Amino acid sequence: MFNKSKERRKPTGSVQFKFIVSFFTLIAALLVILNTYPLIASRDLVFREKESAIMSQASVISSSLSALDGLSADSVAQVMELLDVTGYSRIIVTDGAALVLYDTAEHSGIGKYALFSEVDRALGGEQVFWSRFEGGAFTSRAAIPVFRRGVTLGAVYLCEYDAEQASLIMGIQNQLSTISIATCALALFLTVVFSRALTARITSLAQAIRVVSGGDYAHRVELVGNDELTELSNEFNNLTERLEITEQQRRRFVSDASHELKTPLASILLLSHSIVQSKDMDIGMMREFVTDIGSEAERLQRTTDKLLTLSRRDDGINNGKAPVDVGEVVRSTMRLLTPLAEADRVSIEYTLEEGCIVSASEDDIYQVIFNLAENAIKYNVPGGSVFITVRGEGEHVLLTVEDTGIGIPELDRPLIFSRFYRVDKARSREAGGSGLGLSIVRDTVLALGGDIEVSPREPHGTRFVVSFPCWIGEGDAE
Amino acid sequence: MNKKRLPVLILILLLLLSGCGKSEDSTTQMTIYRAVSPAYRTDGELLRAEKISFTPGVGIINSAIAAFNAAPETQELQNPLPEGGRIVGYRLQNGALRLQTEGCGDLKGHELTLFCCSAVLTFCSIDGVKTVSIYSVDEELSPPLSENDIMLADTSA
Repeated sequence: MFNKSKERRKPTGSVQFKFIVSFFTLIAALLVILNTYPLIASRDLVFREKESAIMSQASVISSSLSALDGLSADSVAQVMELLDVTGYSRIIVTDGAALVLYDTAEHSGIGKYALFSEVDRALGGEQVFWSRFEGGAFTSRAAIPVFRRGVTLGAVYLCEYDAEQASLIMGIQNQLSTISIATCALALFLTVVFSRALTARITSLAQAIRVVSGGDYAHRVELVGNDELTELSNEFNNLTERLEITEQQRRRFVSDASHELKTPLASILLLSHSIVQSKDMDIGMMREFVTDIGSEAERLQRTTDKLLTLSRRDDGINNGKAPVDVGEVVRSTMRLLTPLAEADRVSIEYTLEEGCIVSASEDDIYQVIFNLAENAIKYNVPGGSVFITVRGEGEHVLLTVEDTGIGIPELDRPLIFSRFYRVDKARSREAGGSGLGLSIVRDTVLALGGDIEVSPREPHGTRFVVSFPCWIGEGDAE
Repeated sequence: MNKKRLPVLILILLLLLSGCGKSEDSTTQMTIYRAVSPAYRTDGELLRAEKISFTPGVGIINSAIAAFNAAPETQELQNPLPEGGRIVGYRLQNGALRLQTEGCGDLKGHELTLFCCSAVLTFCSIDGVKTVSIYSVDEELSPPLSENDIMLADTSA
């Protein structure tokens, strides 16, 4: 995938090229429409105007000739002289057999037969007109019959060759073409400029992605403007920032975990070497060393168990949920912790409200209560107390664990849920703490949709308040 | 072989060979003008030339008359003769061709013009014919006309 992105891209495959082609095509299409439509409309207008004018003129001639008893060359010539029709390149009048009686052409066709399709159709009773624009001129032809008392006496044929209006339209066409070419060139230039500005930012973003992919998580994209690309760049920066934090946490975690595992292993190694290298060690000391090795192994086991629990949480593996009575779990957990509390001379008092049921696995609730209560006992003072309360409040079940111990400094409070974080490292290790208990508590509570808060307890000690969503029975849910 | 008879035999052989050569291409073409069928006349020509192959054994004018009387080869064209009408004979004198017709006496106006002009253009294309006049029995349907008396298109514009 990385190699693919490094492949040399064809110029035609770039976003800039596609943008230029799309935009330019759009502009060109618009210009083509703007160039053709007015000309077509102008020509149609000229055609209509010519049809109206020429047909009117032909009708006047036809009407005048229809007053004659019969068409002859002389009588037609007299009528045409009276009408004095000008402006046409040719006017022909034929009799009913298409014999030309009158012709204004330079080489007159009088006495000849006019076998034109227009004359033919006019002699058939039709009114004919057509006009076309070609060769830089409008050529228009019209023919209409000359009727008298329902009988076709002949036909009138008019031909007009108009280069003047054609020249005007062609002038407009040339001007439009010039303007269009200039507009196209300007559009192309602007498209290149704008697309380059746009794609430069995309290229910069792609470059930044490659840099971050290479491991430089501190790299950021410079935010320019306030558009969608700026938003995208901002999201990229946020993502990279989160990635950087995650990477830092991962490194710290690996470092801390290595350290936590290395310490008991080093102790075990040292103790075992001492036993092996000491030839005359007495049995009492050897037993003490072996006991220490066992303790360190237990600590190692606890740490790896908790790491495994956290890893399962990180992987999103949830234990099956069922209605769990939090008070019952508190009772059973206290039974397990009573020997530890007695050994540390700490008293445990609990107030449990009935019916505080949450939807969770019993193991998860046990983990939360055990870790909080164990910490409350371990970091207490001789003769101190631990107070545990479970009660319902609205749609939540609140679990409160308070101790009368040494308390947590305010600066350390936001960090106590971080993995391997210890407030008092020496005392924690001495007490057998792994620095993972509160992380497990926080992750478990959040996975159950709950919340946890820590605050100082007056006059001394610490208070943890855990809020779980109440279990809603099937009947209640409806 | 007798030496006196040899030139005679060669001559006979050459004559036979020349005869064989002629029989390979004994037809020639002539132009017959037809009326364009009304359905195909829109803004176009009224008469159109049709090339006809014929054997000049019976005389070119007789062949032209036979071809003129026959039906056109395409449906775009039609014979300008009326139904039952035909050219039955001719007389050529000093370039003036007089055609005798049968069944054409009722033709009038524009239809008569199309028939006459078709005949004039057809027969004036034959060498030796300058004008063509058309008769039905003794009635003159068309005075002597030449190709110059017919305008097939307006070329003024």
